[in-house]
Amino acid sequence: MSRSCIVRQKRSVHHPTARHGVCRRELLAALIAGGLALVAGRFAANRKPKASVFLATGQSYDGRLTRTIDEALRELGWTPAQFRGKRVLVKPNLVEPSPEAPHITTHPALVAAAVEYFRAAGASVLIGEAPGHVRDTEMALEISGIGDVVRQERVPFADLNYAATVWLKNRTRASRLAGFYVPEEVAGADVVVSMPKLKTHHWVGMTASMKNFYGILPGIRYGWPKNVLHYAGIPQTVFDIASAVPAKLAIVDAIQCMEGDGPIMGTAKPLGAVLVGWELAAVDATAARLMGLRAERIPYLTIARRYGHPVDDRHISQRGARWQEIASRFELPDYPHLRHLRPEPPQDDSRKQRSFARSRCDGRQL
Amino acid sequence: MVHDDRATELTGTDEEVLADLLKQVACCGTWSYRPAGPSATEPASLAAIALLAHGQLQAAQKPLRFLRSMQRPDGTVPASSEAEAAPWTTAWAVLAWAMAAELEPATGSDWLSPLNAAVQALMRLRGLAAPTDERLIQHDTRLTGWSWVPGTHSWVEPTALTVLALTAAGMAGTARVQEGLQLLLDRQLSCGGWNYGNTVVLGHELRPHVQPSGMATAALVAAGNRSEAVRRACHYLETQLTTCTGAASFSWCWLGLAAHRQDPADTCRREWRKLVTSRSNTPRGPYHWALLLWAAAGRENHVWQVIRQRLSANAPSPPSRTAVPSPVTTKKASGPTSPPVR
Repeated sequence: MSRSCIVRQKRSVHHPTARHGVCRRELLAALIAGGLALVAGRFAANRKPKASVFLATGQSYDGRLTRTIDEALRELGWTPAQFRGKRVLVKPNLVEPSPEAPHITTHPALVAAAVEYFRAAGASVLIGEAPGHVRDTEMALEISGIGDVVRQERVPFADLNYAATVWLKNRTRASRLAGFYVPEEVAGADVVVSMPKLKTHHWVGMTASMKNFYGILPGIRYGWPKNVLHYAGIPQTVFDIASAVPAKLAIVDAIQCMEGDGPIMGTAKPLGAVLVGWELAAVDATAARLMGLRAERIPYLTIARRYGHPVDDRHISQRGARWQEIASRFELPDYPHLRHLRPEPPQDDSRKQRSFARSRCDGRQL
Repeated sequence: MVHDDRATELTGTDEEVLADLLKQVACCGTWSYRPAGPSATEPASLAAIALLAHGQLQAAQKPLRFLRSMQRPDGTVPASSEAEAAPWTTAWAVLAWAMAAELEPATGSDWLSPLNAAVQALMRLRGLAAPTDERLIQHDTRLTGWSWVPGTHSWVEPTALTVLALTAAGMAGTARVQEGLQLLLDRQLSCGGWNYGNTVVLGHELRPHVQPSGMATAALVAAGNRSEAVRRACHYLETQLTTCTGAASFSWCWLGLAAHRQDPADTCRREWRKLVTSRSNTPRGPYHWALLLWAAAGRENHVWQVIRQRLSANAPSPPSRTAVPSPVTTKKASGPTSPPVR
């Protein structure tokens, strides 16, 4: 407060316009300061570091996917030289492979492309996965076609279901779990590449790069399915696990996706896209918009947003194609807990739907 | 130590391949899931059971002793020596020790003490029940079996394995085992198979998987169930026998059929040989080799013989929720209320 104001305050005791002890100059200064703060806040919001997500369209499994990954990473500011000498763990989704439904699991062509890219860059590459519903990983590899990649590319594979683990503290604590037993291969990697299949999910709406990290935790500790995580809350643990994993990159197989009763019993949905990004919440939010879902209402993205991750479209810098160009409504099972994920839920029962969604997502999933 | 690369060296007649595999498992000093991994309870139990199933009583002593070294003061035998390892593998140790106690006259009694402690631990462990909401999940969530991790729901494999183990330990008549069997029947899919343990979710019936189907079939048969459910289970397994591309799935497919004496010997041998002599896409460890060895014992498997004998010799104890019967006693001390090994 300026000296003149102090003097004026003393004088103002008897001044009719200054009976509350605030002088006009001070009021003006406060107004200006408030206005500046408001502008600065808005400016800061707009200047909030944007996460970049690359979207490649018109993609196919027999296309040049290695080039797509290279182009995507260059757009995101990364050159192959930056991966030289790094330990890269490629993590596809092999939750429950089925010969009748290849759209459950990440396509081997995209996994092979990622292996080729990182190998050519001079990285040491390992494929790792802990299938969530099946114990016979050898058979899961064969049915999914990833076994062919392992053989043809002569790339090592780690069955993470039986891995030796290290304890990583749960730093975000969205769930009550104090930490996670994470395979040494994951904890020791310089980059963990989440390579999910883009699918609907009958409990949380969608599954992509963040939920794919359920598949790094060993079944020998967490079970088949990883029921410990369900009891601690699916959205909460999805967020916590993704936060616990060190440097991570997402390369999402959205070429042939799944809609309907995902993540296992849904039907194939062609989209021809690949998404790439370093900020997994931003990648999954963009994927949700591609599916015609409200990203900020996907339960685990709601949590990510609350923790400051870029989920809003204005906080995501789109590279490559724009999601609006190919967005396509994915079918979802018609259950109350999923209806509110659509852009315009019916007004009459939206509160009930959200309440139901919370009750389903807060745990006790069998 | 057995590792994947040895698989390509397994050549010769079926008998020679089997003899070579038997030798490898018998000489193995580490029982791990993955090559060069640390010893763990499940692979060690499988090694002991496989060796006992082939009459290699002496060679089975090493993995049996390892299991004893893994036992905690509360009787559980955790999956690994890591901190807070899950106790679902206690059932594996029970099965191995029960077999040893029965088949190995010289040292069989050595295993009775750890066996009894482990059986008591299994009787204390239980999966969580939950209110049933048939709009969402159609299996009976109120039935109690065994879970992978304490404090979670009951699932097919830990329940099947524990039913099998407790039956081998003479506990088939207990209320817990009977409820476990009921749970397995409730979780059976319409095709006759099982998956990890969900049947119909949000109106869709889920797909079966071979490994849990083989385990559940073996458990039902071992506990004396000869119902239509078992017939349908065997039919499902028969259709899968030539499609299995993994050692674990194939082995359990054969084990499930063999338990019911429904294994087509020629087909089983042919498929077994294909798997054993081919190079796997993922390194096989002692766990895989022991499973393949156990399965190769076929229907003349000592494990099934012992279980059949126990079932026929023991009148099931009346179900009781208040008192846990003593599972296995020394042959000398055996009596009508505490079923003897034989």
